[in-house]
Amino acid sequence: MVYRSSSITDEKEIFERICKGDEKALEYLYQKYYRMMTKLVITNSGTEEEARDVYQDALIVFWQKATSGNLVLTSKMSTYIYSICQNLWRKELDRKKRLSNEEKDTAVSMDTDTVERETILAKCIDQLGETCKKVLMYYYFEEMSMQDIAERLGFANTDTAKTKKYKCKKKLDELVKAQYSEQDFLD
Amino acid sequence: MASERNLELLDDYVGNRLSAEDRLAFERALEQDNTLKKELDIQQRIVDGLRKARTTELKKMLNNVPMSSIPQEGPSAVAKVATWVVVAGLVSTGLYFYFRGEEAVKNQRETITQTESAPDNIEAVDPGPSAIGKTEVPAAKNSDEVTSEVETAKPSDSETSEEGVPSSDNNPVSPAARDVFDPSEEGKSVDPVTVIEGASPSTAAGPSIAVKIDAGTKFGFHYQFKEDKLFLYGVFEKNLYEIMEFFSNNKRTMFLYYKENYYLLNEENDKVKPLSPIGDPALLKKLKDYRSSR
Repeated sequence: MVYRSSSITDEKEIFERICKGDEKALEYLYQKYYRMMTKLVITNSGTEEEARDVYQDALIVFWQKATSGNLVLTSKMSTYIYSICQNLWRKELDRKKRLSNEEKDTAVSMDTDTVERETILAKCIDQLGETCKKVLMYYYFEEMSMQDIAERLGFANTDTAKTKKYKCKKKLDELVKAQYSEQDFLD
Repeated sequence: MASERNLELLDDYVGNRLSAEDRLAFERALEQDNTLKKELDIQQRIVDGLRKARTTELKKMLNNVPMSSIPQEGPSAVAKVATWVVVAGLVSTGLYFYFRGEEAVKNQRETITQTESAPDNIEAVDPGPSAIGKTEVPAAKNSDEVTSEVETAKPSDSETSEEGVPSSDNNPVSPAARDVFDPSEEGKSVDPVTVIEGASPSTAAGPSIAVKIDAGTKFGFHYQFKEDKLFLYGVFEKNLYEIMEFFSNNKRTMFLYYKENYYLLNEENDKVKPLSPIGDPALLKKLKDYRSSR
């Protein structure tokens, strides 16, 4: 007995959904091209894990560009994502090469600082409510318009979205600044 | 202390919402305002933190995408080797029969043709070992075909997708190359609940039937099997929908998944039939289990 399943949808429709920030469409795309994209890394000295990381990063770059309205596709999505994967993997290979030639201790120490700072921020972001997080992420990462944010989060209008964003950002600023003095935060 | 106006500009600056001209003007203002420069540093880090958090969130989401339907690298390599071994064996056998007489040749030729397609399918997924070094990227048509071929490669051995007629167990391709089919389930009936009882959730593939959407018809949310195609009448474009196929005893049972509901697709005749959501809890549970395990 065989069980088969397939989502049927066309390229244009998926791209439009991604532009609107439809995460289900992103999941669909992830599955669709997983093997092809990860193969690129695996056949070029990468591990399965690295391949997955690169593919996910590439897909997120694609997502960010699409949702922010900064992407006009002149090729198929797979072609575009594939070229991002290529660039990211080239960069990673260069980074690895450089790292092997440098003092590894210095690099590790720098990374620790960065990680620490990122942890501080992540904790502050976590203290925000879910809606606040979404508003700020959609605004700063997806670079959505206030209109889109209002629609996506069910706000009455763009003014409500604007006010919400302002308050949420203020709260986050306060959280960050309250925990750490300016000097701590800036090294 | 930076002015309110400057703080607004700063926020637009870190949010990539300034025009090139305004960006330059703001950068000039920054040069002369140390307080603003410090504030920019903090704001840049906060926004970077938000972006990082969103990236992490999206990655987490992608990591939770069911992976069973995606062919994995390890088994695929094993399958490749196994397939080649089987192909080599079959070619040898074919040659043996060829020299034994024309009757044997006739019987074997079909088998060899079937098995030779297996490595071709596997090879098709390879974007090329030297892809990194080249500037060219795969044609999208190819990539679509590639994905579709990878997905169909596994189960296709147990059915003839073009004709929609599943073949029997005597397929010469190695089980390792398929990894999809439990022969012990072959004898089961085609009752919808029973059909999916033994189906393997790891066998996603492309549809064996062409699906056409007709949004401009008088039939709202109906379906029809006609001329070897499945017609879905109604507005389906706004959401992803999914065709689920189960094969048992040379018979196919199809379901439509759409907007959290499942619909049985009856292939019995070519009449236009309404789509009615399945209400049977046992069948629903099975279908949900298969979808979630993919």
